[in-house]
Amino acid sequence: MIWVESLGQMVLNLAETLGRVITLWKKTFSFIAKGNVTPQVSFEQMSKIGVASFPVVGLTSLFTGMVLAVQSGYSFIKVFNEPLFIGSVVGLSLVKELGPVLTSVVIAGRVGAAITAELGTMSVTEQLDALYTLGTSPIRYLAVPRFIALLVMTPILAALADLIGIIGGFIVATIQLGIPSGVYWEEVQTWVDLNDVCHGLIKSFFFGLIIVTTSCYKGFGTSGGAEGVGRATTEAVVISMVLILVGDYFLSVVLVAMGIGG
Amino acid sequence: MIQIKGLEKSFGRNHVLRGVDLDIRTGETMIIMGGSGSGKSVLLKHIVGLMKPDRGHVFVDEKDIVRSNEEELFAIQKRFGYLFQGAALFDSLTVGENIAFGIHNLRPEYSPKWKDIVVDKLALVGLKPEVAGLKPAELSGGMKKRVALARAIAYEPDYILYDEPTTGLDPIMSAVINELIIGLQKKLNVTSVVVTHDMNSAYKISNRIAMIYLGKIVAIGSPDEIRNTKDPLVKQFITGSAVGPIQMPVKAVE
Repeated sequence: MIWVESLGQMVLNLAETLGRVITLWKKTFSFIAKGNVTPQVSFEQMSKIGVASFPVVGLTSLFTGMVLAVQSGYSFIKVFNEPLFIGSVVGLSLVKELGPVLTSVVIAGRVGAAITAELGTMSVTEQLDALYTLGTSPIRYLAVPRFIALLVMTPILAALADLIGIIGGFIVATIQLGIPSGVYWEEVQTWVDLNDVCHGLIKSFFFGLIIVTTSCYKGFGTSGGAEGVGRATTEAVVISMVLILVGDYFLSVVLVAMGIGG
Repeated sequence: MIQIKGLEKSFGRNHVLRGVDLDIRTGETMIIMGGSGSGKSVLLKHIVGLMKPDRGHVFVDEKDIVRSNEEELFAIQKRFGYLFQGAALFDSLTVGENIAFGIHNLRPEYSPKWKDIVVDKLALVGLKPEVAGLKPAELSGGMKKRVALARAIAYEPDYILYDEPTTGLDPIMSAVINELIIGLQKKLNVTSVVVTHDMNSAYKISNRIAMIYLGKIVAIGSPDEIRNTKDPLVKQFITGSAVGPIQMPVKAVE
C-alpha cells in the first residue's frame, strides 16, 4: 500500500502549497488594497521588468508574426493558388494566443527566474529575516512591487507583442508574398475585433499572476544555499511555463463561454 | 526581561530544541554557548519571533510573543536589534541605506537626522564615513559584520541579539566588537544575548553563560562558575577537548 501513502502525501503537499499561495495572495493584495505600497520601488520594478523585457519580447513577436505569414502564405498558395487570409491568420493567432503566451513564456524565463534567484539568495543569506527585524514585512517590501509590476506590465507587453507581430506579418506579406498592404490591413481589421484583443490581454494578466506568484513563492521558500537557489529558480521557471500553457486552455474555455473573444 | 519556557522546535525528524528554559534579566549580557547544530541560532530566532515554536513560550517583558498577532509582534520586534551570523546586509542598498533602514521604519522621528546617525554609528564600529556610499559587495567579511552591527544598533533597541558576532574577525577586531558590546550594556543598559563559540569573548563580555546541549540548557552560571566548573560536559566544551561526554560524529583520518 505504498502508493496509497505516497498519494496521500502528494495530496497533503498540494493542499499545503495551495494554502501558502493563498496566504501570500491575501497578504500581498491586502497591502495593495490598503495602498501600503512604495510607488518608487514599484516603478523601478516596472522599468526593470517591463521596459528591459521589451527588446526580447519585441524580437520574439516580430519573428513569430513573420513566420506565421510565411507558413500560412505558402500553405494557402498550395490550397487556393493564392495567399488569402494572411492578415486574419496572423492577427487572430497573435492577438488571442501567441502574443500573450509567448510574451509570458519570455517573461517567465527572464523575469521569473531573476525574481526567484534574488529572493532565494536573500532567503538563504538571512536578508528576509533581517527585513523582519528592521520592521518591514518582506511581502510588503519585495512581493508587492513585483506583483504590481508584473500585473501591469505583462498585458502591456502582450499588447505591444500583438502589434509588433502583426507588423512582422505585414513585412512578409507585402514584400515576400506580394500582397497589397491595404488588403493585409483590411483582413486584420475585419477578423480581429476588440473582443479578441481583450481575450488575449485578460489571459496575459493571469499569466503575469502565475509568473509572479510562482517566482515569489519559490524565492521566499528557498533553503539550502547556492544549490537551493539554483533548484528553486529552475522549478519556478518550469512550473510557471507549465501553468501558463495549461492555464491558457482553461482560461480560453472560460473566456469563450463568457462571450469574450469567442 | 526575557523568559523562555519549555521551548520545543523540530524540523522534520530533527528535534532541535527539546524544552529550553531560560531567563534573561534586563541589562545583562547572556552568552549562549554550544556545539554546532545544538540549536543556538534557532533559539535566538525564537526570541525575536522569527520562528514559531512547536511548544513553549517566549515572554518579552511579560508579553508572550508566541501568541502575539502580527501587529503586536511588530511592536515587540521594534525593541530588538539583531546581528546575523552572515551579516545579512541588503545587497541592493548602500552601507548608509542599510544602516538607515531600521531608522526609517522603526524610529521615523530620527529620519531627518539619518545621515548623521549613519556617520555616528559607523564611527562607533571603527569605520570611516566614506564607507556609507559603498555597496555590501565591496566590503570585506569583517567590515560587513561591523556594518551589520551598526545597522542593528542604529535605532537604539532595548535588546540586542548577536549571532556569533566575532566569528570570522581578526583578534583585534574581535576585541573591538567585545568592547562595543560591553560599552552598549554600560552606557545604554542594553540587554544582550550573544550566541558564540569564542570562549575568550564569552568570559570578557558576559554576566552569565548558558550552555545548550542536545536542545536543552544543561548549565548556567557566571563566567567564573563556568570557568571553574566540574561538570565534564561543560569542561570539555570550554577547554575544547575532543575526548569527553560530547561525541562528535566525525571519522578520523586513517
